[in-house]
Amino acid sequence: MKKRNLNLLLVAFSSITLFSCKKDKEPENLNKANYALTVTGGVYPSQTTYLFSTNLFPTDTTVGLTNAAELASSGQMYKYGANVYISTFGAPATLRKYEFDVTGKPKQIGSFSVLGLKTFGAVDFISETEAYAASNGFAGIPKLVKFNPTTMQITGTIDLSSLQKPGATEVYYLGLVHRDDYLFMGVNYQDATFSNLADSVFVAVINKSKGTVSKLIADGRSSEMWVGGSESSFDAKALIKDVSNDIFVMGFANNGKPSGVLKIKNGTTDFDPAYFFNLNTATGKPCLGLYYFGPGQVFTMRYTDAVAYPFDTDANYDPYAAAEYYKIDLTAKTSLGNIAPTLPKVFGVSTFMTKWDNEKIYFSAPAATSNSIYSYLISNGIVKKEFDISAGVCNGFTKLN
Amino acid sequence: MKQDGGYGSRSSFLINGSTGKQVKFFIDGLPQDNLGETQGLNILPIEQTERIEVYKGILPVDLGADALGAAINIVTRKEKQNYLDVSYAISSFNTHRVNFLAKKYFSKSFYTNVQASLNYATNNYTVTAEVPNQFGNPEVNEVKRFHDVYKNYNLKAEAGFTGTKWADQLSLTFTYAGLYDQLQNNLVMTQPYGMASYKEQLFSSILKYQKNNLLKDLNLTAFVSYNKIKGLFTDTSKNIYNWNGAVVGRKFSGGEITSSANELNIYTDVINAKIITTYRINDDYKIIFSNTLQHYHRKGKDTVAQKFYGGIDYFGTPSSLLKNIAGIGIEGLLLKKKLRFTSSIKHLHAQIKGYQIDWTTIFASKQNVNDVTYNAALAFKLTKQLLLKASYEHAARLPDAEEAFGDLMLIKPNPKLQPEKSENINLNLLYNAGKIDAELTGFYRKVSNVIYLRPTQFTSTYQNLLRANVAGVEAAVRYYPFSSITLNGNITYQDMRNQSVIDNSGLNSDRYKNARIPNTPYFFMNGGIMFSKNELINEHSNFQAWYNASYTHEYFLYWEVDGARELKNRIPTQFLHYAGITYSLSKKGVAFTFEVNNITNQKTFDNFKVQLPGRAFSFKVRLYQFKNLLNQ
Repeated sequence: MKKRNLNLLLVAFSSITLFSCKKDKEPENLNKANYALTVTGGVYPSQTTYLFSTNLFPTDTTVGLTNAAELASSGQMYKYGANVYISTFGAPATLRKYEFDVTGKPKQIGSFSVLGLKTFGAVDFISETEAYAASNGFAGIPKLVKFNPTTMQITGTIDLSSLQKPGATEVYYLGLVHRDDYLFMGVNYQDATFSNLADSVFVAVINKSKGTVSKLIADGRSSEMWVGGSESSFDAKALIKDVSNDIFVMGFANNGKPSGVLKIKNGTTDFDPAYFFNLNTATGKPCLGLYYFGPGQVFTMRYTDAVAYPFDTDANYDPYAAAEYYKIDLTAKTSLGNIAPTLPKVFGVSTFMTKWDNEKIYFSAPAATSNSIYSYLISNGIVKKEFDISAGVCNGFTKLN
Repeated sequence: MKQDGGYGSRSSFLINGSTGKQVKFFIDGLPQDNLGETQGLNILPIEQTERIEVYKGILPVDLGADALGAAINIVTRKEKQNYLDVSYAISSFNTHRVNFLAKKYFSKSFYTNVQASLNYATNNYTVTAEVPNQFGNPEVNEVKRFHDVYKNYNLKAEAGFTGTKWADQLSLTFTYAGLYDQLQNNLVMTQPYGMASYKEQLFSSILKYQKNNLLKDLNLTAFVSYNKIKGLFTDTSKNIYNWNGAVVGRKFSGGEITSSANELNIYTDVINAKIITTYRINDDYKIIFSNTLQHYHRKGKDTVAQKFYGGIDYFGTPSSLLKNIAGIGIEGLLLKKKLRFTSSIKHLHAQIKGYQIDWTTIFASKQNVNDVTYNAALAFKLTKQLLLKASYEHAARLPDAEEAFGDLMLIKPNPKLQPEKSENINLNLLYNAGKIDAELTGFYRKVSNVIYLRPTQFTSTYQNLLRANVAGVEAAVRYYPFSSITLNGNITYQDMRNQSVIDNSGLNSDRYKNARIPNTPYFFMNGGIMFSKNELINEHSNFQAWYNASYTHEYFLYWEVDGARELKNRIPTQFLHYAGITYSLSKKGVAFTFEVNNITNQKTFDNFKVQLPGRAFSFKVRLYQFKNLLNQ
């Protein structure tokens, strides 16, 4: 009886404790960072990138920059784990890692730099301790940086000198995707006249274990590698990997060759000669980049006016928004059309798409007279405006928790 | 005045809301636009200078300038006597400055004059910089700048006549000048360089004629000058340096700064011609006419870059600029000479022949730009001590050569630029009561088509984009409580607000409308005290001691409206102190000066947050003799 009473007492105490815990629970931190965004904007004297957070999903309101950290120059955000990483343009190339404090303000918790280099072309995260950052080749430093994203220390470099080609004055390393023991990295060669050295899509196959370039593969069905990105970035990508571990490579339209998608089948390190998805034919216009969110959820930026392709400028080099979001089917090699025909035309290079649940895909619509984030309902394709951006181009939006 | 580095670096001025190229620079009334880097206020020895004229608001028509609201004219020494003046100064950071001046009259009217200077500085002052460690993690270190040598020489020989029947002055001047400038870092000091450099040589000749009453009541001043400038930009090293000065890597191709590498020779010819006539209608009225003509021609040659670009010569296409500014003005006195008024109208013309490169195609471009500017100013003597001045100007500034044609290095050409325009209103109240001189100024400027350097990912281009409103007040006072003490101070607040709504990405955003223009100081003040005592210790001696302080309030590097204030890039508040003493023995013709700049060794920055020198000591000895010695 005594023991039972004791047990009851313990249960009661526990209940009281639990109740007390509930009652004394810390009030919810309304400043806690749950969503992170980056915006690149500004006019004179130059561009700046702002990283900031919101506690609630920013619905039907204009997102401002009042708690944002300011980074000089344009920048690109990557999300891996609970952290965001930002690569800014301007020597030396620097990758910064951020977390958010209790007030929701970003706090830099690590960084590394490579002197002489102006920016990183793409950053690909393999694990908590292994990641790669491609040097953007125009600074003349042919190497791939291997680093530990936890400690933000460079742990090695992979020499890319073997990728140089005679006559190539500029070599750009664009886009990274990993599969098995290989990294697949897009390569763009420019000659002395700033023209394509050869009208082919080039992809370097890099052996991670050996830390060497295995080979360079090329396919002439499209013109060249153009955009960058990785699984952790938000922009339109040059290389994506699907659920079957097939890698799809986006080719840029130029010199009479169409924009199109090539394939490196699972288990192989060569282009699949049997696969080519001609996007010019399928959509009627040149396209730029791939957004992949699982089977049946693949998108590209279609340019309604080829003059704006790919720099988003008109014939006088003034800004010209002419792109629209198109859904495509990589298997059937067909276009599924504009996902939101009523949306204004957008600056295609400045767009992003992202997804963190199975309900919606979020995407940006930076247009000449509006600048908003929209959602695309996966179940029925309904597009809805979520919120406006008050300044600049939003180039990353992610859920942190 | 702001400098973007150590000794010899470029300087810019902020006057009444005008800055950069909006402020025109003259030496003895001759425009120094497009004459390269060898002649500048930052390196001109003070001993060669009689005075510095700073024009705020409306510029006199005889200056013949297309400034937007301010100009600086350096008036060099013109004493009508023989003299010899030699000085040597040694300062911190291995800075040495030698100056030699001599003037000799061979007759009552014929004279020769030699001015020479030699300047050298290693500029190895300490800065705080990030040095990546073995893991690439940036570590903040105190390092010495290691590739910032600046050398400059200047030899000027003049011969002429003064005070003859046919000329008040007729002179011919030859100048040979040069500089060597090591390039230490990029614009924002994040990337050090260890080998890149720039050299320049200037050959110049100036013929000047001046005669008052050439015809009855007609004065005439005329200049013509020919200038040849040769520049060499060298960027051929593949080395990668860190801020410790160590080579940490080698690039596969290109130079430290450019992807092609450069050994770029730049050949420039500039002809300036200017004529000013003044006709006195009566004692109270005169009419002034001035015409300033400049012809600029530039061509480049770079075999290193040409090889990189497969034989294509991107620099060989010539660019030329023909600029003419013709103005006429009237000055008069009214209301028993209590009211002075001036008004002028100027016609600005530029023929800009250049080219633009669209990837590999060179497109020739030619345009004629014309504009008319006008102004009116009144000065009313309220009392014996008080003078009230008011002025209005519709001003314009033509694009200069660098803006239209680029620098062949990092700035791309844009020969289609249009003139900057500004509506200026100025109001001044001047008080002079023996022991006190004081001035209160208010100004408002509405600027459009602002020409600014728009940085892009690879290079920069000058473009017309911004519209801005500038309003400001400025107060200055000089007080002489005793004959031996002078106190002075000035304070400026200027509110520069953007009126443009289109951002860099083409997005239409009014977010920055009425936002403060970033990267520009808006509140600053200076103050000082000078003690002067004759016959201290020694007869015929003069002792001077001074202390000056300058305060610049913090300002943001980028738009103030963006970002959390505590997380923004800013130029912190700078409060700097300077002091010095001079002791001179006029009979023996010797003077010693000791100065300390930035006494508290505070960190100072330019507008891009490049760190400037800390505390610096300077000692100068000057020997000078006037006509007595040379006549013996």
